[in-house]
Amino acid sequence: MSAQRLLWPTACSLWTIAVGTVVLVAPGSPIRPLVVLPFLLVGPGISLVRLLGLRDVVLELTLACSVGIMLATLVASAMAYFGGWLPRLGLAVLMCITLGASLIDALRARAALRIEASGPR
Amino acid sequence: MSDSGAPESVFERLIGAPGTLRPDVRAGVRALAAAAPSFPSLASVFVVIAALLVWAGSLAAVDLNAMNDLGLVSVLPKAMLAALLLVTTSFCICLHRRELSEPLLALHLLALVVMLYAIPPLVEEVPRFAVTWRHIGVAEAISRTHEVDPTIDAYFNWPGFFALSAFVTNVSGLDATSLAAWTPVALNVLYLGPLLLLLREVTDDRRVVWLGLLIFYLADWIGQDYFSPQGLNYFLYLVILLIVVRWFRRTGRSQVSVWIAQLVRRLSAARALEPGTARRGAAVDSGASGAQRAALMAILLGLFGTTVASHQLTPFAVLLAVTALVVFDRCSSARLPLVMMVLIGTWSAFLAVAYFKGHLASLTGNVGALEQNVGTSVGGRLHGSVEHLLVLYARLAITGGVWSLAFLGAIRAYRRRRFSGTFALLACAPFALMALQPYGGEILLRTYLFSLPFIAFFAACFFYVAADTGRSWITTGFVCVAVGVLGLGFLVTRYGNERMDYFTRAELSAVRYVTETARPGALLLAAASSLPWKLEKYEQFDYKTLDASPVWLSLDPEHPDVAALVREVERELKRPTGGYFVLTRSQEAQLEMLGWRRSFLERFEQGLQGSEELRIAYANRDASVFVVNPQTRRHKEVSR
Repeated sequence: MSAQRLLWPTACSLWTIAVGTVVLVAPGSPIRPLVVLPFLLVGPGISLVRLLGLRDVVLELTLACSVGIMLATLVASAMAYFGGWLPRLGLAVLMCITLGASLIDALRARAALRIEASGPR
Repeated sequence: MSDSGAPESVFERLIGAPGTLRPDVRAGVRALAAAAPSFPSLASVFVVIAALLVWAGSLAAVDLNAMNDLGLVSVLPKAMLAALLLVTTSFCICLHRRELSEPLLALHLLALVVMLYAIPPLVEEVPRFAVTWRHIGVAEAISRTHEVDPTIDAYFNWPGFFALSAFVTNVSGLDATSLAAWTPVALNVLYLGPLLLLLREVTDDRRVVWLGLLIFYLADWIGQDYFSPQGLNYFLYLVILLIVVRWFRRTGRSQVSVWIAQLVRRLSAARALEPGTARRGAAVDSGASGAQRAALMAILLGLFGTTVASHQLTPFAVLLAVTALVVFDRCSSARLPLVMMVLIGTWSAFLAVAYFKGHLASLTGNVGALEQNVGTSVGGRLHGSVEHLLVLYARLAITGGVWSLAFLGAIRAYRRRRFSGTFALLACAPFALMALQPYGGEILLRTYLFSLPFIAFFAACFFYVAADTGRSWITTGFVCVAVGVLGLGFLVTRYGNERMDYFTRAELSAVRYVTETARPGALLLAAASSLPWKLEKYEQFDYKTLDASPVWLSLDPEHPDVAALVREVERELKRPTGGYFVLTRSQEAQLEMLGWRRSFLERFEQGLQGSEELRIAYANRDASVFVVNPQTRRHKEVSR
């Protein structure tokens, strides 16, 4: 069970790396929207929402989408209001949030794995 | 019978009596048999796939040029209508089965969402709705100028959605028009999550949940799910209410609420039987820890803050809903409305002050004028061609029908102790919006939309009044007829204005010609509002429509003075910064739908073409662009 908990943070981290690679290395690639759009909608949100430990996929995905929209709106509005329109920087902020939250999630899953491995005393 | 006493499955009969196979093989086969989908399930999946194929195959037969004022339904092939009826009927049969398969129902619903909402992006050349292009233009302005200038108009005082759109298109490399075209499908898929979870909060009966969802999608003819702030904010509205209902719900009633709500006392709680409601006056056990609830409250406030920054109306809809729950003691966070009011007030006082300075009187002038606000939404719209009037009456009939069904469903649920006071409050709360603002004549539509999830729940309760009833074929037949009527009604009501709402590439080319050649400060004049303009350099031009001018408003519909209109166009275009008059197919469709005769529009166009003061600067099969004739102008200046 705990091993499964590593699935999401690993997937989120790999996805974030894929987004960074596509945007920086191959910005003209036709797969760019397919990689970036779902990331913006779900990536930062799911990595944060999973820290709540709700254990309901539909619920987590629903909250993840709303949190993803919220964070992207916050970042975009801040850039527009403060006159520093740097979309790549905004994307980098969202990628950092995703990686940071995924790291915390992974550490928690690893701790749970260790407890499982040590067995009942 | 098997050795366990359970009825023998098909697989067991095939593999023979116990002992003829090794026990481990037999256990494996039995597990496989249990996991394998039943024949009715497979048949339902086949029906959905077949209907999708028929639907997709008939898309090519849609001829938009043959459309009349009934809208898209007038050119939809019969095969497409049959495919839609097939899916809705299959859905109803799935609801009839003893063991409900939620994945199967979800498959039906997703297929239906695609079949209902993906027709326009697949058959039309460019995104529909004039306002979609305006929103693309606002996002383009932010993306190009890298800032928000609140003095331009209201959009720049609530720019959250537009900044988000600009950001998304910038980083994803996706064209804004592609994003806009598929937004209705994406948003409706997105709505499914919070709707499903919300309905599950108030009933254990899965048939009510799924029929409620189906009714929601079939009754949502309002069409606010396009590329717009309200479309995205509706999703946030649903998620905020989900968080409140799931994690911050109370079951009971305080003394204050008793005092305030004597009239609805019995309805609000006396017979409520929602899952998890043990006794009155207690918070519903959501199973969440204090830290989880704190984090969820932070998310809720963050989402509310996003709506405040993105849309004028949605925060008020959320505020009214949450206030209703708090007043009637159905929300454990009593200070939440206060915090929401502070957030709305802060935004209005600091970041939307530029808009309020010039519009405060018009915004507050209609507060309390309920009759006038409702009249603008209903009476103000009931005119136009015969087919258009049919569409308008169909909208009224569907709205009235769904509300009546919900009312009867609420009564039946109440009598069978399945009434949800929480949902009754959430269904009623948006109606308070009607006392605040006419909202450009749309307040009744928006109210309908905000209350629709809860109305749909009660409408579903009408058919499935208890967990142990409603499995007769008579009930299933009634459900089939009701959703069939709603489905066909959806196509009439939602796409009833399609003749003026859809645009062609030719129309878009004409508008692009104007935005590319016009100087900053130029006037862009159109006969009516239905054209794909404002998509580029939004803040640089002055936009006007002729049908809002005093000359047009004083026209006699029987004998309109075409010469006066042509003179008005000539007068408007003579600006030092230049002017363009854009006349398109979609504008003519709009004016015809509103009751103006085709002969009048043809004479008007001939008058423009015959004017010495004007010349055609650009023309194609669907659009003409007129500008002031420089030769005539020079000639007049010389003779003067």
